[in-house]
Amino acid sequence: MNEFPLTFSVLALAHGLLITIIVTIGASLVAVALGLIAGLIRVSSLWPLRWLAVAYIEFFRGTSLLVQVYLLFFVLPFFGVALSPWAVAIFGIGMNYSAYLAEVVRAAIQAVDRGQYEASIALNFPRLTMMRRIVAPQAIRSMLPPSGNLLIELLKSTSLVFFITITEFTTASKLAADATGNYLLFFAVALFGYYFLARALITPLVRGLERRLSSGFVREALA
Amino acid sequence: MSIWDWSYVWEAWPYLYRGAIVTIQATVLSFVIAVVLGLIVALIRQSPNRYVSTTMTELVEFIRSTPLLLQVFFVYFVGPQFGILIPAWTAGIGMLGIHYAAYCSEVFRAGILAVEEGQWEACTALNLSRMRTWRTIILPQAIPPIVPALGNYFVGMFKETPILAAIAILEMLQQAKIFGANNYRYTEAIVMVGFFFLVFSLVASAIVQSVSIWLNRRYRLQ
Amino acid sequence: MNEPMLRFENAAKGDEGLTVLDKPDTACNDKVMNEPMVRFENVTKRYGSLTVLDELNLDIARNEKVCIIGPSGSGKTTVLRMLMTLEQIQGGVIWVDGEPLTHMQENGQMVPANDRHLRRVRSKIGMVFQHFNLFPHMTALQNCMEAPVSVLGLPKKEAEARASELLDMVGLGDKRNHFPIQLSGGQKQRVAIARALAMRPKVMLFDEVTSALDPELIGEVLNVIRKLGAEHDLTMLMVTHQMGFAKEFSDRVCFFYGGKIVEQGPPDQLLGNPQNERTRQFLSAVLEAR
Repeated sequence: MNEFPLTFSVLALAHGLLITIIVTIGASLVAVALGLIAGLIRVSSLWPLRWLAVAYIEFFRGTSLLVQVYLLFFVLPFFGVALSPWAVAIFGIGMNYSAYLAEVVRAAIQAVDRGQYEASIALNFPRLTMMRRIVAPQAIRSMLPPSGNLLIELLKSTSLVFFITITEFTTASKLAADATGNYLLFFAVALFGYYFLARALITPLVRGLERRLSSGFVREALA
Repeated sequence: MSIWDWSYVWEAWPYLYRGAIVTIQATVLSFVIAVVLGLIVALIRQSPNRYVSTTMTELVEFIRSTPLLLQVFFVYFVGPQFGILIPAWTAGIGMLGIHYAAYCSEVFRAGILAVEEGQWEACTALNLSRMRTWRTIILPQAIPPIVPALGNYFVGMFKETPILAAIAILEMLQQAKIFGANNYRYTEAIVMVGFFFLVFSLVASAIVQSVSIWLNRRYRLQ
Repeated sequence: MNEPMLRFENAAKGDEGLTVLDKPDTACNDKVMNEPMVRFENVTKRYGSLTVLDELNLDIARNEKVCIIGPSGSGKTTVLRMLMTLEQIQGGVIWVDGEPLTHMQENGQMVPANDRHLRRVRSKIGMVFQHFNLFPHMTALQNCMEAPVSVLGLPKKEAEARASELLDMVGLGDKRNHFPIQLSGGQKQRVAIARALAMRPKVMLFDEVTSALDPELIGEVLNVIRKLGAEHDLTMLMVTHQMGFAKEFSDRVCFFYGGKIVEQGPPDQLLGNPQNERTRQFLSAVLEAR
């Protein structure tokens, strides 16, 4: 292995890492936005809305992520909608995880003690105020740990854009390994890279968020 | 060109059928690996030797936080670099099984920790051997409550099998893609695959649900 | 961590003096009969810096029925749990039937017991727990058969006959195929007693066996224990809050306070005319609660 391909490969790997981070952030923003909406609709009191949310959630959880990505990438162009690979990656992964997040949101809202709802009704809160001031602060705290796990799963799933020709971290490591023949080195680097992103960035981030939100919660409760 | 053409459905059928067989075989085989290995790992993590248990815990964390695709690449390509050829099927099924074994071990562990301390104490008081304690007292109580969680991972593994296409295993989705590329027509084949996944997920979830109800009744846990 | 088999690496050194006691096999019959069934010798139990039992010395004779009373946190349950090897000890030696429980003799030296030794000595002891600890996935009969079959190696038929007989004795012959969840608290506790007896122990330990029961179910369990005491040769050691039962049933009552035996004696004397101030306070508090 001579100097040139190594330097080149290291740069390509760094570029791939950057793309993985961008796709992860983009897809998680999509997932949070759509997941919150779907989750809230899922607990709506109107049954047609509720069923719509159920269909959305079951569709995205039940058909494989890669199937959804292929639907966006290969099938949509037949209908005149040609999305860029980037859009496919961010929206495909984002929508898939929004379904899982919606279930987390639903579970968290339903886990809030019945007494809290009854007390809110007794105090004559409007439904929106009740959700915003009473239910949401409690639900968000119990949503955070499962959301952290989902975020790590989302990060891992960005490797699937390998199949739609975006050179993210996994693909970059594969290309670098193919070019140099040193598979052990580049795959090991990539594995530890993902491990670092998950355990050194995402896990502490979620923990910090948890601490902040629960301390704020305690303050509010005492005030 | 029409939006949906039934003739393509019939033409794609043989491709998808071949792929579906591979997909199902891969899922079942790797699920067996995941459950057996997951249980073994969970038992090792109960070891009183702290070095053994922390090493296992770290390993499980590592496997859980890195992508399956990359792990499959690792197993498939690193071997030949050192002259060890691993067939794609072995590498793919094996790694899918190991990846989910990490998840299953967490589930088993939760089940084991949920068994009351008093059960262990009763086993000591009755002088049951360690093996016997695990086999007839602890595991029969630990496993029925976690069957739904294991079932969900079964469905999850099913949906991850398309990753195996990356090392040229012709599972269902890859077959659909090949069909699409040959005919310049992706819609029917890919939608059919999606439909198959969806039906399988819903049916499997329903089965898991009823099995767990049956188990709970069988083992008097509710 | 669920770790049932306890090891005794931390047991105190300096037990050399204890070897003067004869081993059972070399002792003559008289001596065996005079030897206590259970002996605690300078036994110390600590959790971290908290000393739960401080150099406990207690001898229990063959067939003696001893009740242990005392306020919570006085270490009374710990005594039973140490004897059942559910707790490690930090000092001293426990003897069961003339053999050290936590140590064994090897080349004339006392060394910490290995698993085989523990299992052999433990087979002489049965225990009934406050929260029953029945196996929820087995019927009453299966609960009573499991250990005789797998530990003693009894044939299934024989184990079933033994289990049925014991369930009849505790008055649950008709519930043999019920699962624990289908039984009341008192019935569960009676199955637990039958389960322990199926191993034919020489010593029975009862750890607050009526504390988790509704008041109207206490009597049926105490009746079974009474019957056991009257009809069988069993050494019994029980932690209880039932002062009336202790008075009528036991040969001796020990009052624990702060990890020590503050006072012990025949029940009439200890419960009727306590000498120690602590004992008086405890008894009057218990009586007031009635």
